[in-house]
Amino acid sequence: MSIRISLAALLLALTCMLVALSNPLSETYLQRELFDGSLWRVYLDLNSNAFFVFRKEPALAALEALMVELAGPKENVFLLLCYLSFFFGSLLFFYLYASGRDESSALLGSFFVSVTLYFLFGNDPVTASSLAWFPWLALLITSAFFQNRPSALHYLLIFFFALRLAKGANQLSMILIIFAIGVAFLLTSNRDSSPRNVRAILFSIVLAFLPAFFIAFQTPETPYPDYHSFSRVHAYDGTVGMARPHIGPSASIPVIDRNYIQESYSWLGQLLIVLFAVSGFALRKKLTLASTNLLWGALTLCLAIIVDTSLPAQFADIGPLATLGRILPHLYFLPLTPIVTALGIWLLFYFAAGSKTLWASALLSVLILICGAIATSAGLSPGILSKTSHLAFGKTVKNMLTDSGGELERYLISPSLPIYRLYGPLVLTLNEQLSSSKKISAAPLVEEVSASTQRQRRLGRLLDHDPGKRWTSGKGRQSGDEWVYLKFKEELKLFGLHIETGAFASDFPRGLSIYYQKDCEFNQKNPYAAEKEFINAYNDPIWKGSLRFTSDGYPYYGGQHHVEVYFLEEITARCVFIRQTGKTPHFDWSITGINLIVLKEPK
Amino acid sequence: MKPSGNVTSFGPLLLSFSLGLFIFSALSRRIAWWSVSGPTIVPSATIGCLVALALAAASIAYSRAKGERLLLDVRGFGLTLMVLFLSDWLSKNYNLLAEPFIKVANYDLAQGPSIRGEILLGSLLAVLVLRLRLKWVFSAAAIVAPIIFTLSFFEASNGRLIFSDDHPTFLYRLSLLKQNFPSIPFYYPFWNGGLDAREFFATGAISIFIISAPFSYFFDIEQIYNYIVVFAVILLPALSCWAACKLEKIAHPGPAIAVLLAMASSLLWYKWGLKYGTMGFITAAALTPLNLSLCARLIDRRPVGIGTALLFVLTFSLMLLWSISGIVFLPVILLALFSLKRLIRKKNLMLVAFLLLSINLPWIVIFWSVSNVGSFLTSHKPGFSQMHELAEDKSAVRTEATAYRHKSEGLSLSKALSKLRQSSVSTNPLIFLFFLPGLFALKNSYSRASYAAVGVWLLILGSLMVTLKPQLELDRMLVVLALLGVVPVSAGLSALIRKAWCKTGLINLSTACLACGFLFASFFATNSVILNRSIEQYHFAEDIVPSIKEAILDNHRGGRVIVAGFILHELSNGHIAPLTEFTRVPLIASSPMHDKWMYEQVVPPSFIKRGHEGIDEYLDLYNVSAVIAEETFWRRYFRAREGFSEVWSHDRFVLFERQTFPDNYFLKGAGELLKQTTNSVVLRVNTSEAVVKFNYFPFLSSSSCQMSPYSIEEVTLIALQDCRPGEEVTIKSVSAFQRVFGR
Repeated sequence: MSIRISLAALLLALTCMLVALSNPLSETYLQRELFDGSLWRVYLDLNSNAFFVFRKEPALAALEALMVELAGPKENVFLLLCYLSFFFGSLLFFYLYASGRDESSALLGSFFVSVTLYFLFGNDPVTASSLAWFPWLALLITSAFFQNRPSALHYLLIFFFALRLAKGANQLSMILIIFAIGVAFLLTSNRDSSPRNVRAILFSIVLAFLPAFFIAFQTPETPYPDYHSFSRVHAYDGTVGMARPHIGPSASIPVIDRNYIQESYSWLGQLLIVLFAVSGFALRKKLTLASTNLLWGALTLCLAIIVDTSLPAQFADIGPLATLGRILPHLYFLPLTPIVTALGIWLLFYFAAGSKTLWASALLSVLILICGAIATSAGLSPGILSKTSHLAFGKTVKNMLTDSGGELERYLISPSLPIYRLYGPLVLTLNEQLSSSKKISAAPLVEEVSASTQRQRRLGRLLDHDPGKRWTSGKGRQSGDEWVYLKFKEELKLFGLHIETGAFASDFPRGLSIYYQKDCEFNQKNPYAAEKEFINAYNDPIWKGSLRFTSDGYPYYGGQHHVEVYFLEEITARCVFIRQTGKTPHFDWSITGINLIVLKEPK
Repeated sequence: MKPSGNVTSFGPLLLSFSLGLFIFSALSRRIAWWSVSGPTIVPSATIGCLVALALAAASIAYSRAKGERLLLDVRGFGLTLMVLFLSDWLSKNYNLLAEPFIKVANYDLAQGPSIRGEILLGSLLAVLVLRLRLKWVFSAAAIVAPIIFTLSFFEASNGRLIFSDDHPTFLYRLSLLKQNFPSIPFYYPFWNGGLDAREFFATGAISIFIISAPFSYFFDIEQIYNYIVVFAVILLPALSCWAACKLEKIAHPGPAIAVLLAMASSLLWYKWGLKYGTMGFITAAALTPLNLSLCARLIDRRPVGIGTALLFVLTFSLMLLWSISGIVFLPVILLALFSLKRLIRKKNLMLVAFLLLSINLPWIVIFWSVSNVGSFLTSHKPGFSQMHELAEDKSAVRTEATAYRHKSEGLSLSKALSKLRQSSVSTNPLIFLFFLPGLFALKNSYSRASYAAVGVWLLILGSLMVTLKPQLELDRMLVVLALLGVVPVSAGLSALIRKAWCKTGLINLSTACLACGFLFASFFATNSVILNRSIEQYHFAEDIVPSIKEAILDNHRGGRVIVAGFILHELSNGHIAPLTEFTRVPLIASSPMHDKWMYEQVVPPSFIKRGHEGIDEYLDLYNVSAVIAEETFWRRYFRAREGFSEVWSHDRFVLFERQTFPDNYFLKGAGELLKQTTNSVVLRVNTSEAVVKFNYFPFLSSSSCQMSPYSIEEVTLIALQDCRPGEEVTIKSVSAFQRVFGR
């Protein structure tokens, strides 16, 4: 019976893989060459905006090339190979150490963990390449921990798979090896009968780490744009200070989008901790001391994920994942949450396989995927953890690169991508336009001014450019309904606005929308009520700072107190309506002067 | 009060906690929860100290009531570490244990408290290490840490020479010593028309030269200078503390902890070592722990072997070469005086005294007489760090009315405490919290007394005496104290960790793990400092250095090149001293080695007053063929002047060629300059009398002519008389012996 089920599952696995092959998924990364002939490539994660150098597992990449040569170009071949390796490695591990040599449970566990990861991560070559050899190494290290005298062949195999893992996971290999050793250590923690062979264990650990150390030195530096030190490429995420790694290379600013990580992984961390707790309760009579220890280890892992994804940035920063990112070389450039979550899921299926209940793995898989589909509103297609809009923009970028002949490659495949995504490709030309723009005071050109706080004395301060005197909303907070309206004496061609905050640097708008009209005739009493009759020129619900450019032309957000807004295209306006749309309980919206940004007349 | 043995009682634990709390409160001023902007827990140091004293009183009463012995329990200080962890201490600026951060212009970004993550992770790992008794982990860490630090330094350098502040000057001094040692002091003609090269004594350059001698004689100093810095700043303190722990017979993992802590004792260590480049001080300070333990070993009752005696003579002499280090040992000398009778009879001790005197007395006498030490001690010269601060804000240097800190302000307890607090923030908290219990963990009572006495003495010197004698920069003594503290602290931490190894119990494990967590975080924080990711930024040679070297070589045309105005750290954030050694072209500048502390034009005032004519006369007096201008005023001036053409520029530096210059080193008479070496000038004089364009000093000697000073306003040149026309004349300094005792 069990053999038939196993065979059926195996067939199902292969069928799924073939289906995956025939249904190409869009990659979650953009890639470009680092330098000619190098296997290392520059990767940009469309989801998290992580920017780093990475190298696909060379052996599997070579196999992929061979298969493509034989069967023609297929997009998911590498993914398939990685998951096949992961599947067979997990199968062996579960069979030997989880299911008590029950092949059906092991087969279903390894099949469903592969399917779950495939559906969660989609076409994510970094995670897939990293996971490909992990179970094999975990298996060999655990086996070395169990044996009193591992053979020379055993050590050789440990080194071989550690090397494969290091070449596949690159910078992430340290984390995976630490995890594999942790699993082996916990699984062998009830060997009371015979003492551990400490030398064998130590030798195995050294062999496992050796290639990873080598890779840490070999990894080329990521070609980061030279961003200004206090700049950002995302909205402020609450991080205190500007943490940088203690070891290895560093970047001038952090570029990973923490908001994405929190949105996409916090539910998974919470779900995992519940599922581990339920597993522990359900299996309480079956669990050995070693399994119990492993369960505690898994719960700790989930806690680490929750700290990283569910707590405010200042606490997440002292969590284990953020800390590891700072103390292990090169890990500062990658979010650790995805790979650690994948390992947590693998452990969950280890327990499912250990339960020897055939439906447990399938149920877990379905449960996780359905929860994922609900939590992320992504549906049940592969890549649940990906942001559809981000992947779609990735496709746009690829098309742009094809059209431009790769000319824009270094700009688009850079950490500045979120800015291109928000503002559109016009940002590419903005730097040039800014050099031919100038600022002029709005004061002499304004015919009529009104604002949400109408006191005359304050209205005068709107345009006087005195940095010590301000127009303010006067509430001591920003509630999202503050506005300023300017009507000019004549129609003006505008390229942007500079709203000065003077000495009140903390009182910048938390969100900003700018509207205009050509004739300034609206049906309502005040412009706030007539918002719909205006044309929107600019909209940023979370004010991130003015757009700036590095010396090489990469855009970034400067300080938030410097409120300079560009419309990207010249507008003709008789009046502008500036709306503060954000909220903050502690700061006013203050203006000490308004400048108009206009393009210089061509000579 | 006695050191704790096997304490499990509550009284000693509370007493120790209260003592730790007292130290922490005294150093903290206000204590807030978690971050500096967090809610206040203790509003002032006084209240914190009073609470600590109340707790101490309670613990004494409790111990008496229970009939317990009054002991110190190292775990109590571990509990204080928990308070420190939860307080705002780790968020304070200039903290050693701070997150790497970026400094932009004059704006320091508030540092994130995320170093707590490293501490927590380290503590968790320590649970494994302690529970599984993985004793080798500490030894492995002690081996790996210096390797990683060294690699990190070279990663930060990216193949460039360290050029921060005084580093180029030290490089220059080492280069001169390589060519002239032991014939020092000497006459150096390449700078400013000839100067008295004697600062090797005051700066302690000789000690680092002797330590690096085997390599510096085989390699170019420029090539190995970075290695010398790594050895002195990173490896030497670690070796010294390790050896001191071995001498003190501190049990494992004490020596391994000492290695780790020695490299992470204080942020100020790297400020002086990497940023300011005071290599003499760093070398002497690094040797202090070893010398103190050796001193204690010499004065205790055990016999001293010849190996120990010779090691002491060697390391103590090396340390003394940075002369102020001698005062560190005054308390030990006093201690020794109490047992003088016994010590005189002690084997090998007289040999030590004889060797010490015979090695050090000669140079001390030379130093005292040639360096004018007495006048320095009574002068109002600013300290080194202040000179650095002034240099960073050059406009301040130019303002003659600037009020300097170097004026003696008398004793001030509040200022001393403020100084102490400032310094303690940059110090590893393990050191100031575990120093006291660590003293009691030392086995040798003489060591205990020596470390305690020197500790108190350095505390007084580094806080109280700073305001009294600011020109001595005695606040550096707190840096020495932090390093010195590594030895007793390692003993204390070793005791704490061994307790956790031997016994179970939450307090044993948690305090030991937290201490290990701090040690773990210290390693990473220090690595950030070395990687130049801390608030204390140091600098490497930028492109300007090779570029200016090439420009000088290409444009000197046999004459001297002068740097107009005043130059401090403008050349790649360092001094320009080594340019003469890089090029072997005679140069002139105001303060090439940072020996002036007020803005001073290179051209003396009487010449400047006479305008173009005066300036030209000065340039002719020194046979100047080209001018380097870095200051805006002088760039504009020479651009506007006729007779000067701009031939090279790099950033702010511009080199102007003098279209006509005398091309003659003889002001009067006739002859030819044959050779300039690092210690002499060789001329052929064709007239019986001549005036040569080299500065006169009374200690100069000439191979054949008579010499006398020849003054033109502020300039004093060498006048030669009674020369035989056509004869070669060598001008150089008389020997050091002759300089001291007269010819």
